[in-house]
Amino acid sequence: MVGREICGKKVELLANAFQQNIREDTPQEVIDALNAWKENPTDFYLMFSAFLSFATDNAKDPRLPIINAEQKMIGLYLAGFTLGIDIDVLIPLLTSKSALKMVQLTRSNSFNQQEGLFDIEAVINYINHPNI
Amino acid sequence: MHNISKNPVNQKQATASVDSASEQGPKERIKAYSEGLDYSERLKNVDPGSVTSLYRTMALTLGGKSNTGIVASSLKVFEGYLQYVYDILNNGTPEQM
Repeated sequence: MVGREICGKKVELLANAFQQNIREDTPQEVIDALNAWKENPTDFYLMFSAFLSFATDNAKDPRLPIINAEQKMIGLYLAGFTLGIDIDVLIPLLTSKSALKMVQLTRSNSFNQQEGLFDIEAVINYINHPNI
Repeated sequence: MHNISKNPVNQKQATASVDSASEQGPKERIKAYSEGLDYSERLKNVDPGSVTSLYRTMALTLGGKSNTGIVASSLKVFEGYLQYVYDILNNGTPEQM
């Protein structure tokens, strides 16, 4: 996960909170990364900070359901952030018609007697193996 | 990183939220996306006279209750995963490496 190339960009881990031998001096690459964090849109903790802020402020400012990040789909967003995928790639992908159809398959409808699937993983399994 | 944030010169930046520090941060970019999507137009424009408005706003509001727990749990899991990886990197046997 760390040190691989994802979506054309190399993902690196610079600061390690669990490092045992803490260095006295600060490495130059960490200083460069801290200075250039505005140009680093795939930073994992920045994305999680933004999502946690949106989730707690959802009552007065519902942004996450608007970008299709409800409880069924938010796991895919978080998995994408963990892999270092940019939101310029993630949001158009997870608000596309295919993604909305996947969420629709998880919803049940008593009027049509339609049983919804449990979660997105069940939907993916259903798409891959529809006869099982 | 600890030394930089403890330095009194950087105290103001160390205690400020990263979201409020930038206009080009992730929060502002997600807001810009949520305002420009075709999918979001149906959810944002709530007509008070429509019978489905109440249920649509309920769905929007209730989404955040579970999302908070999901995001916090995933952050916790990621921290635990990192600790496991670096525990092996620091103290692991050659077989574990």
